[in-house]
Amino acid sequence: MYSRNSFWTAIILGLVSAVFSNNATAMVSEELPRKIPRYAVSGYLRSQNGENLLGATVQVEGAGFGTSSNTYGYYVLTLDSGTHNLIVQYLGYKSIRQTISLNTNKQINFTLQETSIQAAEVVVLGRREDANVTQGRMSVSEVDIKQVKSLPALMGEADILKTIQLLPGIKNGGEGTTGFYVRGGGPDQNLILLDEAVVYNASHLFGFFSVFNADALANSQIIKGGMPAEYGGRISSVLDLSMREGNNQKFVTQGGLGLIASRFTTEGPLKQGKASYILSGRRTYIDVLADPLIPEDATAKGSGYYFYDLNAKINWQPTPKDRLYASAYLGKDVFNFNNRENGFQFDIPWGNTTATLRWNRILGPRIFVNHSMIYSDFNFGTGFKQNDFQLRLNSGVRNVTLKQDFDIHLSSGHRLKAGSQWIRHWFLPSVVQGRTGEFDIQTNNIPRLNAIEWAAYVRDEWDINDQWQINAGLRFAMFQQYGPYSYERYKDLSLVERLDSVGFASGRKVVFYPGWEPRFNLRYLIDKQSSFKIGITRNLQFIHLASSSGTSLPADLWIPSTLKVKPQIGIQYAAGYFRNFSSNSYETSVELYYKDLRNQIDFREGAVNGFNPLIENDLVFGRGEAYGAEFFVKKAKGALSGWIGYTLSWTNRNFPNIMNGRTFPYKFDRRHDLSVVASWNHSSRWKFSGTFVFSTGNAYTLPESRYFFEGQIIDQIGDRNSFRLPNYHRLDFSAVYTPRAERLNQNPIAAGTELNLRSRRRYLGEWVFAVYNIYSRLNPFFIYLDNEGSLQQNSLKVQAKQVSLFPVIPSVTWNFKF
Amino acid sequence: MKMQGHFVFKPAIRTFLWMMFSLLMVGCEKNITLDLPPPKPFLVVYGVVEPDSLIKVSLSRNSAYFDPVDLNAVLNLLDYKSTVIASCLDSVGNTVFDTLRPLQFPEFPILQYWTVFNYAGTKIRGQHNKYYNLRIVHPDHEIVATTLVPPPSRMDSIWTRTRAAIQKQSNPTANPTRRDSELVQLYYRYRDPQFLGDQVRIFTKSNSEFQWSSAFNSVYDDQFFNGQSIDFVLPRGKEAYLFNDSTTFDEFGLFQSGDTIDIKWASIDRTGFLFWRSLSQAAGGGGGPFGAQPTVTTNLKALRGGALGLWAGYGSVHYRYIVPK
Repeated sequence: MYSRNSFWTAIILGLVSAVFSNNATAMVSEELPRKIPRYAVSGYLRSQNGENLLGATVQVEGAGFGTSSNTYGYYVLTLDSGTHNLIVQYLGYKSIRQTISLNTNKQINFTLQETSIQAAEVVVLGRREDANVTQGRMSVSEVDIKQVKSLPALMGEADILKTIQLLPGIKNGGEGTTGFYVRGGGPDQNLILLDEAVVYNASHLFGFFSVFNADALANSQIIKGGMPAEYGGRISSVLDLSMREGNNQKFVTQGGLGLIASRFTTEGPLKQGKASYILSGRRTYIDVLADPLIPEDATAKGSGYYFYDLNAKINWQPTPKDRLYASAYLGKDVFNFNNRENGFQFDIPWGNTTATLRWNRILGPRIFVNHSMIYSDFNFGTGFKQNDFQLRLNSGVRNVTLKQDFDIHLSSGHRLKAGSQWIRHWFLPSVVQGRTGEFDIQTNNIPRLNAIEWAAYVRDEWDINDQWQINAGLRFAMFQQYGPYSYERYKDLSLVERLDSVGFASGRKVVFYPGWEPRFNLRYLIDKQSSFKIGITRNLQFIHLASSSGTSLPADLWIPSTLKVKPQIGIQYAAGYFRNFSSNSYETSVELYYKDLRNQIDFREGAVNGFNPLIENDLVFGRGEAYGAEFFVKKAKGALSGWIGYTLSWTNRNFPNIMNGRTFPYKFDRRHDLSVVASWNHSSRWKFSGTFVFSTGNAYTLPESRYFFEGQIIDQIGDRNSFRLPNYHRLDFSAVYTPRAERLNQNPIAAGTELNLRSRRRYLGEWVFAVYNIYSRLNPFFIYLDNEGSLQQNSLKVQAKQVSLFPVIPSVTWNFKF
Repeated sequence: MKMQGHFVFKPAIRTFLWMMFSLLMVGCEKNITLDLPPPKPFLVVYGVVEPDSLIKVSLSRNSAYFDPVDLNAVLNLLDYKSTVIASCLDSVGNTVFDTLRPLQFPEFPILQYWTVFNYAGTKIRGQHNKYYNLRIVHPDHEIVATTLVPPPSRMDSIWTRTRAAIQKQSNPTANPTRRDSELVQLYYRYRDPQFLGDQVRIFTKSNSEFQWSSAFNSVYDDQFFNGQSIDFVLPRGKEAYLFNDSTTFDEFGLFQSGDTIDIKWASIDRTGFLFWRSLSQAAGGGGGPFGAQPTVTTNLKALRGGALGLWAGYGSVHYRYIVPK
């Protein structure tokens, strides 16, 4: 009889032998081959402008294997000595086929040419044609920035966040908003990175526009499951964006004039082929346009709203083995309201700042290392001033990160990635400062909260044989909060009877949370056209977003894990079947997932919106679960391209102290979610795109009865999220017109024997015509119950009302480049 | 220290959000019909015990959301099926019981429906620094509660400023109207004791107003000014606006020169503070996309059925102020 350990050993050995069985058979049936020397071919994959190409593929023709470039465009392949044909491919670029002769380690850089000027030859692939089937990772999507710009957008503002909402498993936060929710996770559970820097609040104007200016972006990748070990700190998804690096060959200026904002970008070489810069800005101008229309003596003169973004990046390659980058982002929303009559002034500024310094070095043909120093900051403020009284509230979060990542190419089909990360966090939960006359107002503010997070990881991507690939990683993360810190303990959640308070001096350890984060993905290639993949990941998240609203707002507070607030834990299981058709023209997949979310936070019942420095006392803790199926069909080649994504899902939450522990739907629980995206390249001058979305209405909380108290009508709230808003659907359309790059000459001059009939335009223009919500569907943004009239005057009438935001909205945007 | 504002950041932000939607978005609104589930029945209780006064209790039921709402409906929701018993300890430690008697119209006036107290005590009068129990037995509900009439706290001084003077201070070039010179803002100075945890509810009653009423934000605690002396606005109670169409939004919270203003300054316990704070937010129409639907807290314990409301102890102190003409 087997003992329990023997039993599991037998199972594991059985599995391992099954995995390796193909190899073993091959080895005994063939004569041992003579050992052939192997060499590494490595280098950078770049565009003709000098931009690194992330995820571009290098394949060995006829061998059925290859590799892809890392975040910095670096690739490594190990091959037998001899002659090989390499095929290099990247999204929207012409493929390169090059023959190489390998008898030593070689560095070969490839420069790819864009295909955009040859409209008929559109490639909608960002990686190997069959990557949908062959790549080991699942639940990953790359979104082409050019495609983002061509899809219809609200008010003409191309937006990466709204494009990723069209992918299965990713839901939007409401009509027109950029907030996104991945496989039942919350908005704080998405790791949004811009050049490796965390962007804490990725929206302008309360979510209607994202902070990402499409002109400044190069690559985007969304990982909604099976998160690789190099990523950590969030439990639902990663949106990894990188800024463009600037043209290192020539100076280029581009921009656009839109309905609500304009963009301007300049880029060029600082040293030809060695160093370049890019500077890109965007600003809304409603305030500027409206100001002259407001009379000088108007009470609200000086009031207004605007937002702006500024992206800057320089890079320099001092040696063939070294490359340095410095990039920064600054974005702000500013609202001012003045009332001269009452001497009242009110302002709300908020925004993100990020800065990244990076040093890439090729340590050897098989080892690539990146060192990064990163700064991220988000702050929110509210100021109120009347006469000699003034009050200001500030909240924010900030971090400084140091990290190192090594890419180690062990052999063909065996790649290792390892690294470490150190993060110093500062949290400013809510600080009030006031002054009246000559006196400062004393407040019981909690001081800035401090924490350090540290993580180390290793990830191995291993092609065991032609069928099996493992992508497994292990991450170990630690989080330590240290003083000053204090909190009050109450007898119960009514917060009436205070038991004691706990205080920690500055620098003293408050709490320490270590944890393992295993990540595992397995692919089985059924044949060249289909594969089966599974993924299991465990993620830790040490920071939380305390939000009392139905949508994500800049006023929401980021708080760290503390003595009372435990780290969030996310465990996700996913399995999928992937199949391509018609020579990889059509990609299809079905993915099933189950996600277990632990240590989720919410506000206790009875918590009141308002300034509360001891916000932890208003929080309760519980669990969540999400599960569903995602169906995806994509047409990747040809003049007509696009995809259909459908998600069937359930998302619930359970908190012992909410609704007496009964499970309730998460606010973004939507049973059905459908997106249809199509783009048609009609000619070199016209491109048409359309999107259609349908989703089940959001879960919503409504009152179920009412009562009278002190002459007021008070709603008695029903079960949380027990009501459903009507279904949401919308159709958008856009047309992109690109005039010829050449125009007829008015005075053609004979050049040799032919007349020079055409000359190149000084600039390239592009018109984007878009219609949002073509059939003007009045989708519900929210529902409210309105009391009209007065109870005391016997004229009270109760009416349910639905508010919709955007009917049909046409827009025109003009883009230019010279 | 002079404080002229309220700690109302969240409401201010919400106001801003609504403004942005009004100004920037081409929003549409339409009436819809909702099919809400049948409500769970609750007994709604507002009991008051304060120094030198007999105990009074208002008992009513909740109603389905779209039931007709008028004065008759309010009267029909009053509950008379309950036995209401208040109790406390006397000076030698014996329990004193007071069974409240139901009041039928016209024993209570129906001209003003601020609060209809339809049960009245006959024996127990409130005292500072003393606990009081309440027990309500209804065929479908059984409710118990305890409250404290806290020790008194007192204002330091009261004064007024005309709106014209306020405008001139913030904008020396302002041209106040005659009405601005008639309207006054009432202020008070309060010296807070050193210990954190003082809460107060403020009521006003001016001229011919019938009942004590409070402003929309009627309760304050000393979270921001513990142990300090503060000057603060004392806004006029809501009753002035509930029955008077001519009072404009612009004049909310203001009195007029010549007004006789009675002020009830009532210290309250923490439970009462949390109740009133959550109630004011619920009455203010929380919810929608920018704020969670608030749940009103209570200090009532339902042994059977359901209970909403408050058993309130007020450590009241009274003031009178006549606004100079």
